[in-house]
Amino acid sequence: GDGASPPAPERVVFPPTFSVSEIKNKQRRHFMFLRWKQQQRKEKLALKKKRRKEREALGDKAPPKPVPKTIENQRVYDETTVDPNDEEVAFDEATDEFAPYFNRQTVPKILITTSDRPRGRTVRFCEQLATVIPNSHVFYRRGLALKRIIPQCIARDFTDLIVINEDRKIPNGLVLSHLPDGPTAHFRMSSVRLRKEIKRKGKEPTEHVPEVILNNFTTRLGHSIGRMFAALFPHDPQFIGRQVATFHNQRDYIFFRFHRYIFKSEKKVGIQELGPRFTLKLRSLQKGTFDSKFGEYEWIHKRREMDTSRRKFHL
Amino acid sequence: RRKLVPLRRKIERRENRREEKALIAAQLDNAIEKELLERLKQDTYGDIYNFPIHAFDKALQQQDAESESESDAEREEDEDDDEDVDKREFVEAEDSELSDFEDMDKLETSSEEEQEEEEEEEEKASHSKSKGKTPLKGPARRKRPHIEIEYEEETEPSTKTKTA
Repeated sequence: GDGASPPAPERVVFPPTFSVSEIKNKQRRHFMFLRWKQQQRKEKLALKKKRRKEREALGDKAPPKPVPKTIENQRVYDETTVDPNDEEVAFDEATDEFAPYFNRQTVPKILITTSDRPRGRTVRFCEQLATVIPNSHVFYRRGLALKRIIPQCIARDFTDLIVINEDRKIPNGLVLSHLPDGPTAHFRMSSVRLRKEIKRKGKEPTEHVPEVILNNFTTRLGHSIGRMFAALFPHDPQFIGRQVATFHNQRDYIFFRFHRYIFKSEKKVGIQELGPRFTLKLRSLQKGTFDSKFGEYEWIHKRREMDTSRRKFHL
Repeated sequence: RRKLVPLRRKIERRENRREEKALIAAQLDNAIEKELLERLKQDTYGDIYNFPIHAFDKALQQQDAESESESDAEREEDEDDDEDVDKREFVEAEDSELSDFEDMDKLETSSEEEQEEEEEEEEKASHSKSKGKTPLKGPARRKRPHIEIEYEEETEPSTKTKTA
């Protein structure tokens, strides 16, 4: 065969009617394509340099850099986006199911349980979650129906119920139900990392009440979900503990992280990841407590309608 | 029994990919740090952390612009307080990169540090962890009981883990 041809000269000029794809020989075609690619890259680099020189030459008068388009920039504006000054929303929030929590009338008490027969990973995840959320208890139900557990929970003053659903030995779903008769949110859980799998050198979370950060919950739906999460934690964080639990919403995925922070100076803070981490995606939000058949759904993720646009998000 | 819903491969793959991209777009560490700094600025932590650098710098500049002799005495006091605090902070920040949280322990006690004597004491005593000042320190210290604060080790500082 031909063997590799000698390396290309500095400036390869391809005749204008030349197309790499017309060469029948695969090896030669491949080689010519590589040369063409190199050529393109060189041109692109030269163009960039030229532009940068022009920019510097202009100095202050240079036009501002164009902002790249991101999905967040291009997001379809959602009508239900909450305006901070919206009175109707404020009124709703003062009278919804979380009002007792936000008025400090109730103290959160959480019950964490799993689906039937949890396996090791789920069990450990539940334990770690219980250390992260203050005033929470893990309880294994053996086949008891949720509907029967709920009255008992209410009787014992629990405010929230978390059910971790498991599939093939890994947790993959989360049902969060606010108890007196509050909304129930059903999430799909993914990327669960237990504490030992996280690369860090911190110690375990202490018993201090952590702070809560809720990021990016903009729409009405996002607001209610955010409040659900906030209602899990006691109202007054203990700043001594320097722990913070973060629920960050990005493109409808809610990332949960648990960190310990330290302020090194006024403008610099360091964080160290402690607790478990997981990602949630909202599947449905129900008005009453857990009831899959007769419940009144406030929101369901309908794939055919909602997943069509890549720039539209609901939380 | 319960109804089994099968996984849909295409959807699973799509959602996983989207989740990865959302994670990258989220830049969680930066977001959390920004939020914490915001909260610090907005004074939600009250007096626990004593970094009024920003405010004092601004105040200083203002006062420089206005007049230098005006309220000089006051300014000096405040400046001294602040300088001591700053100095103390910077010294410790450089030294104590080994153990991140010792800073915190020292800084936590700053709620009563308006008096300079205490600060001087602290500077001297900064190498011994037993401040014994505020009960606040108790649980904080108990969290890390075994870390030595004699800065002898030349080991690489355990830099903050920016995970993910």
